[in-house]
Amino acid sequence: MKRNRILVLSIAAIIFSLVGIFRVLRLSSGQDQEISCDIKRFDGVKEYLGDRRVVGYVYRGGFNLRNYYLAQYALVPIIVVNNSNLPLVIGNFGRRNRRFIRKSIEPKYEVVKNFGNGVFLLRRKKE
Amino acid sequence: MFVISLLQSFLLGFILVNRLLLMKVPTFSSLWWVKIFLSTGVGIGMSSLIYVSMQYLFQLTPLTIFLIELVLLSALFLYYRGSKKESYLLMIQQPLKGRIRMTEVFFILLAISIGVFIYNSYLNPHGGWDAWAIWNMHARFISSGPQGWENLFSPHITWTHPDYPLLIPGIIARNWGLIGNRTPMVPITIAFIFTFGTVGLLVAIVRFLKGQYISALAGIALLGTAGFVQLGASQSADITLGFFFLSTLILLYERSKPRNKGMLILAGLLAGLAGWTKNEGLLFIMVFLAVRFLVTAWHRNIKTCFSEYLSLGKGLIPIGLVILYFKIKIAPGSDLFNDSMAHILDKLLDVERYFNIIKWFLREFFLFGNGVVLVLLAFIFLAGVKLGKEIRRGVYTCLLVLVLMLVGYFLIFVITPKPLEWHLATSLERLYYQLAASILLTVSMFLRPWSISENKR
Repeated sequence: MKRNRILVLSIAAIIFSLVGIFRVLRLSSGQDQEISCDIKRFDGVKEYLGDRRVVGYVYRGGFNLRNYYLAQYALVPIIVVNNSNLPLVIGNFGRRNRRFIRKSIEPKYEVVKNFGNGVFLLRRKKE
Repeated sequence: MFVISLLQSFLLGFILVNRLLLMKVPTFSSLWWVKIFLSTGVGIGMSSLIYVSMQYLFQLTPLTIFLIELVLLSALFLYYRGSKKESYLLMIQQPLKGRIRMTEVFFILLAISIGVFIYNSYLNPHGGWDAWAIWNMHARFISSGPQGWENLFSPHITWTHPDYPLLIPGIIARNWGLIGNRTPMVPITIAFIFTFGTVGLLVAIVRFLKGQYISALAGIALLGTAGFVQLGASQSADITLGFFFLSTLILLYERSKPRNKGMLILAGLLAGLAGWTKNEGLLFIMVFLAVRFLVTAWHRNIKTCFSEYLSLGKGLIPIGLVILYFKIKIAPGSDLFNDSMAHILDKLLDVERYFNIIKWFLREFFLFGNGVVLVLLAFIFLAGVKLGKEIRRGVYTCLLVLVLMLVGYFLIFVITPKPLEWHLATSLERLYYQLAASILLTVSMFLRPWSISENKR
């Protein structure tokens, strides 16, 4: 009787562990997008900003929380404020941005430096 | 340098644990492994605490702090080497002899889980959202010198929760500073140590108390929850917190006579490190102290309670003071408690809110970790219950701590200023994972231990 119970218990544990493995592998395949490339886009910005403490942030289209947080993560210890009205602003526009920059950005900002991959350093024009 | 730095942290923990536990145990025995895992957690926690304090107060370089730690380590070694050696018994139940082939299943699952952890870390070296938006972000700030320290607490970026304690950011920043670059290998390794350290600690202690078969079941149940390894690989602080909960609770099974005060000091220290890991750890400290007081007062007397508190305090107070200084002088207030009293009172009187939270708690409880709760119920039904007299007090104390922790989490949800459904959906499962290893420890204590010799009878 006891032997049977041990057997059932062992089988239950093995089935449970197999289901666990299956679920772990399934969860792994649905991983979040790798962020190393997103962070790399900001290489060079920090060096360019020197010991500046705060910069603003401007984006294209709807506000994307992930992109904003990643910009902050990449630029630590500089503080990236989600505010486009600061004198110096990081532009995070993604690809194919030429028309957007000409139409929406250039009237308000002067492009200080284009770091490539849709990342810009902008200076707000005096109104 | 990273390996040397980790080794130094481990040795610091090992000297402290060895001195406080005062146990002579054979190498590679279950209790030897318990000591090794405890030493790793204590060492990492203490290194983080030393690094953060020195960095903040004196702006010392990582190498200087490393050397100070080395001097401290040598001093502790020399001081304790000459001290009186006594040997206490940790727990009185002896390991069962005999072997049933469930251990092999556990090791296969462990190997697969390690593989999955490495694969996930390869896919996401910066970890999950919480890791890079909170823990690794804080580590980046504090490894950037005085400007980083100042900016971390800027009101512009309160979304990164600068009020969260600094055990994980501290140990990551320490090692980044020593290596000289912010490689993701550091947070990955720390996450690996705590994820599999929790599994190892659980299996080692259950193996000692309940034998090989039950310990393998406990390990399978923890690894089989799937989300545990996933959460570990995402570098979540919940796994680290769970490690310190488990470490503290296993010391409740102490039954030595005369009482081993060192073990209580170690329990206080580990509870303190839980508070240095996450805000939920502060709740744990309060619950742990209250339960210990109640249980001791019930079984013994008030005088013993105070004598125990004295020992617990020796471990807890130094870390508690650092946490207190951080919370009062450095960090902003928690966003969970910034509602007005009138709003909080409204929520406390809202009965529907309670039912809603209960519904979530129950649903998440039964669906949690691959249905592990149902599997555990099956284990109890099939294995039968046997609660030895010598561990009864420890089991009841653990149960009370776990129940009160859940009550504490429940009350936080009642008064949360955040949208309730969103808050429950994004955090309840993680809260269960914090307690998962401790729940498994407690459930394992109820199971009837089996061995081949018993089976043949």
